[in-house]
Amino acid sequence: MNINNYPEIKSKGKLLKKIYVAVMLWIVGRAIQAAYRVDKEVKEEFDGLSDDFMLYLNVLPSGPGMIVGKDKNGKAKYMGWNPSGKKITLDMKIKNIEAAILMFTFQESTCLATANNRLAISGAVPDSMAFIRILNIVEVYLLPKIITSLAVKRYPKWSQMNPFRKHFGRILVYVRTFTF
Amino acid sequence: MQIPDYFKFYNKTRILSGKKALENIPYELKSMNAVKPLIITDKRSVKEGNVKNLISAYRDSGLVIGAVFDEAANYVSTNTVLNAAKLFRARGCDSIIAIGGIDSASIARGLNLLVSNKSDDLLQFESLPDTMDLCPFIMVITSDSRGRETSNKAVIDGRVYMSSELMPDIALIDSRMLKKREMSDVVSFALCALADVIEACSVELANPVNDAFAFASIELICENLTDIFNRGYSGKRKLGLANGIAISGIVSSNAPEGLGGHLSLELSKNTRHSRELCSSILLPYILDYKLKNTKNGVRDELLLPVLGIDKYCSSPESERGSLAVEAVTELVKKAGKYIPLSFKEIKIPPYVITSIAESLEKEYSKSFGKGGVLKILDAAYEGSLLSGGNK
Repeated sequence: MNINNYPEIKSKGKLLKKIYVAVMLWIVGRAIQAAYRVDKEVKEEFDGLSDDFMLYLNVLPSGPGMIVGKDKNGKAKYMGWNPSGKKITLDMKIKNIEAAILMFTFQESTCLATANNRLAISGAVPDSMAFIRILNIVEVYLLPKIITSLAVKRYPKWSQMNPFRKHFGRILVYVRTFTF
Repeated sequence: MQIPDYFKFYNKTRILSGKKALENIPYELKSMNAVKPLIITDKRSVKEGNVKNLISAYRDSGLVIGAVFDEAANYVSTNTVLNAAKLFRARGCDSIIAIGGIDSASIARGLNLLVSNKSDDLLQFESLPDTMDLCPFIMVITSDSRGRETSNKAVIDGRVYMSSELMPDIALIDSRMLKKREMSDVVSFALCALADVIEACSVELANPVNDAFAFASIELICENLTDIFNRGYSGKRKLGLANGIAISGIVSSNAPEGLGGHLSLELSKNTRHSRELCSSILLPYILDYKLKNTKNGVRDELLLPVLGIDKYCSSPESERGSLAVEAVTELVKKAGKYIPLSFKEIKIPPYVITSIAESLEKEYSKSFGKGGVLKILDAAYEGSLLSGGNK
């Protein structure tokens, strides 16, 4: 048998998908920071987390990722994508880029992705649940209802989020996300 | 539910099934400390694009595939396994991914024995312990799977190598790998898996854990096969059927081989018809014979996975066994559109049937009565049943 007839196969990359996910993670990270300053519920959830809370949400094996944590004043802050030198308290790994695409193209909600075992978490599970609740609210602000309904488990009713809060908050979140 | 005084159940296999399941392979391999797999498959899987799907699922993982060894064929020889081992070592691989049917699985198991034990002699593994340290082994289920891919057996050069550790670490079921097949193949593979499972939970020492797996498998096979008869082999039906077939291997690994398994193996050896076809033909005849002529009959719980909870609850306990046999017979009758239903139709000569019955008579005369094996084979030859399992 000639083993040269059976060549090694090196895996290629998925550059476009990685770029898409990187952009989405950047927007979500910035939007969490913005929503903390705009929405009372997000603020309450975030304040309930430990003082040294720092989340690293990344796609295995080699990124992209985003880091969101508390700054010195205890406020939510987007801290980029590079975890080196940072003390990560909650590491949420999306197992592969295809799972990330399913999540960030809203084909699968965060809850469904978790149920389908697409995420691996190291850290406190209650913190991760709080983060998913924050993420759900941020998605309600960022996306139109028709898309958000696919991304969250239950779209908030009027009694939970009135239209004024939603639309006014949406403008503020967008302005803060893309400006400062 | 029956529970024996003592029982053992072992399942090493995790099942990853559904959307984008293939993309989990690099993560799962890394979690087992493996980075460079050797892919074992057949030429058909390469041609149909199954290997291409796997390679593209590997993209962005940063890992390397050692090689694609596509020499699996209908007959697995020691030489093929040795060649695979040579390639595995030359490329410095540390894990095995098998794609396809029982042939790929057998090569992968034989290869695993050789490379994990640093040996080149398969014969030294004829009797295997139940615990061994083997390389990570992932089985990717395709439309060619017939259940034994997830089992604990490898058949190489006609010799059977058996150990619980030979079960795959992961059975992966992704609809992209379930390509269109001739309906006759789909039906006979499914019925063969069904026959194996029913037989596994019909033994006296059937245990509740194996029963739970068996019931899931029977339900998945019956439900999806009926749907496939009506609406074709596609969509969620093929995924459901593949799941049922994959679970059947786990079930049959935890039960001794019964009469159906022995008979179909002997028939396939003597006639060159596939074991799956022989098993499919025999299934209703064995059940019918057991129901009418043996002391224990057929377990009434069989009705639950075959026809569902409504029918099970609304049937008197004494009739459940016969209703279950009737339902299975009905299913096989529907399969008659695609596969032959008697040995006469596939031209098996009567003298072969007599000689097989004689060879197995001694072993099964206690449980099936004197001449029982011959009666079953005769009935299957004539195809006389198929009027239901009524007493």
